[in-house]
Amino acid sequence: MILKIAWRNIWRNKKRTLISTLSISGALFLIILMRSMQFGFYDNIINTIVQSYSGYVQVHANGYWDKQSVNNSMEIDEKFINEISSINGIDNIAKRLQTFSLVSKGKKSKGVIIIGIEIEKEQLITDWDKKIIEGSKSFDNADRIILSKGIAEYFDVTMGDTLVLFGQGYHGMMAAGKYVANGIIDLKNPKLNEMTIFMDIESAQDYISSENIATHLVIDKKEYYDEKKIAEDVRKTISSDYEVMTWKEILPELDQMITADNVGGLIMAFILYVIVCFGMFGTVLMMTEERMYEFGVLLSIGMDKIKLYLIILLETIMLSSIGVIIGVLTTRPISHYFNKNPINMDSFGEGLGDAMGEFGFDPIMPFSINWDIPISHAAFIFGISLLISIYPAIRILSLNPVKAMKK
Amino acid sequence: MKKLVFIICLFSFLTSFSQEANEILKKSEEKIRGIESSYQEMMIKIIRPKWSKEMLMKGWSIGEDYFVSVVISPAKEKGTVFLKRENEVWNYIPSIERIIKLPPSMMMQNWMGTDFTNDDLVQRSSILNDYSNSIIGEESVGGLDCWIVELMPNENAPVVWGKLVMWIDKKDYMQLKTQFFDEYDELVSIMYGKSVKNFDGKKLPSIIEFIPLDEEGNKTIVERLVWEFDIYINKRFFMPSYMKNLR
Repeated sequence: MILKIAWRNIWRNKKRTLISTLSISGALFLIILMRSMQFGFYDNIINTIVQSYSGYVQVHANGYWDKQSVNNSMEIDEKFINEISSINGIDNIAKRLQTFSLVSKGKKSKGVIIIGIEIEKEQLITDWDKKIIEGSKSFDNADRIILSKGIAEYFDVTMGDTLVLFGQGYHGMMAAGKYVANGIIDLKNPKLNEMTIFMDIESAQDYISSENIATHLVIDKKEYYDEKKIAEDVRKTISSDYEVMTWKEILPELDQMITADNVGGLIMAFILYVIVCFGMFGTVLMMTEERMYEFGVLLSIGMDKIKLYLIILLETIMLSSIGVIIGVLTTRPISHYFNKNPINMDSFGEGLGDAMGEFGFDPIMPFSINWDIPISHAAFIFGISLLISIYPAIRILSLNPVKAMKK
Repeated sequence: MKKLVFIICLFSFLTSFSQEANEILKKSEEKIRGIESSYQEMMIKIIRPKWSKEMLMKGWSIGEDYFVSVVISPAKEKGTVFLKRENEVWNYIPSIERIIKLPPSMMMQNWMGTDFTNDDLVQRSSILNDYSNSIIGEESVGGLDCWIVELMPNENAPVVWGKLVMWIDKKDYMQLKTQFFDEYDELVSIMYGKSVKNFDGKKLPSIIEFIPLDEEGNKTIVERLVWEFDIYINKRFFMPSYMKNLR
């Protein structure tokens, strides 16, 4: 009964209803699109850098992070890895041996990072196979390397070409060798693509003249586990000869960038919310003030004040839910579309993509299709509508029917 | 008149004193640099707080301008050649079959992981010509009486040090200890000459210990196992193209 009355009441003044639902859905539309764009962008960054490269948690020999040299490396045996992998929430673990070198081919040379990897385990973390764009997916031979896209372009490498690596080895040894290009990988990150060369971890150990050492232990977490908690658990499990870092410590600039951008988004959302709030409040104000006479009549013929308030509350909720539903429904296909076909920043202007590349981000912006975003914002608007309905509640409860009907 | 004689005496005394420091340095320098040519076998030990490394090397030199060394062990670096030609440094690495002429940017890097820089190899400064000197005392180093000579670089000398202090033994003019100071008069590194041996008729310290003070626990020891002087060495030994044939 009340529901029916409320529903009819809404449509008594169609223009007002239209305007208020549109203002809610419009604001929600903007907020959801903006947030899903932001979160999609973060997800993309975290996906390309953290999830498929640095790992959520890393273990190094103590002091390695401050002085990244193979002389600060660690020896890792199966037992050590088993101990760590028994910790709750850890998905995969891979050893890496990372060193800096000079690579040259013909007359060109370039400083690069050489990463020795265990390819089967790396596959589980970085989804290696899907990123290979040319050549073989594995090393096949000890003297084979896989180059990142940027290096391959710089040296104009075709498969089977020989490159010369030259650098510092372990404990003062010289590291030098000739290696054959076996594949090209696109790491989906401009910075990494410019400077990474992969080889088998044993080849890398041989290159720097040492056995059994590694510089990184990259730990991938299962979904929904907190990396901080995992890092804490790992720290408890292993001795203090090792340092344990989360990706936020490893890539603080990335974390800060996301935080800063996120705060900017929140401020925008806040401004939009203020607009929505006043829009809704205006509607509710009109709804109550305009109908004071009507309320007076209703009360004087014996309508319960609470029931009257419930009608108004339902009207507000209906209005806002219509707005919310329109807002969510209109953004959904758009988010989905841009999730599948990310916005390419390059198309916005010459050099924009390059500028993003400088920062180490892929110039593409996929939208997030996570339901968290529309649901949380819809819920927030709902909350606001409930809050706003306090006003008519106060008005109705303190209403004197005689006064209300006298004009 | 008496005064004048006194002043002349004093003056001649002073000059003779500085003459003496000059003389000491000259003899000391001749001892090493006056060598026409040399062949040496040396063991280089690199000592670091957590590890150490030994390298066996052979070296040939003609005068001050030409020096070439080849690594004999460890096996992985065998055949690695460093060639100094006047003020150039060339490097040959057998595992990549490449000859590299070191660019100026690499001159301040460590030479083969030791505490010496590539630049130390090519330094052409002369302790006699590029520094003004004075004897500042006497002291015994390792049981040998030494003069302590202070060397201040001349204004336009191509020198990186702010000051050198050398302990030169009175009998054989060997440099037994050298302190290197930077331009802020701070002691940067110390070099010792130890365990004097008779090489081919010349008395020289067989062990050189170089200790950089800014990095604790670091040390480089060069021990001469064989040192022959004034022998015939074919000039082609010092051609970059010949480097891969050295062993």
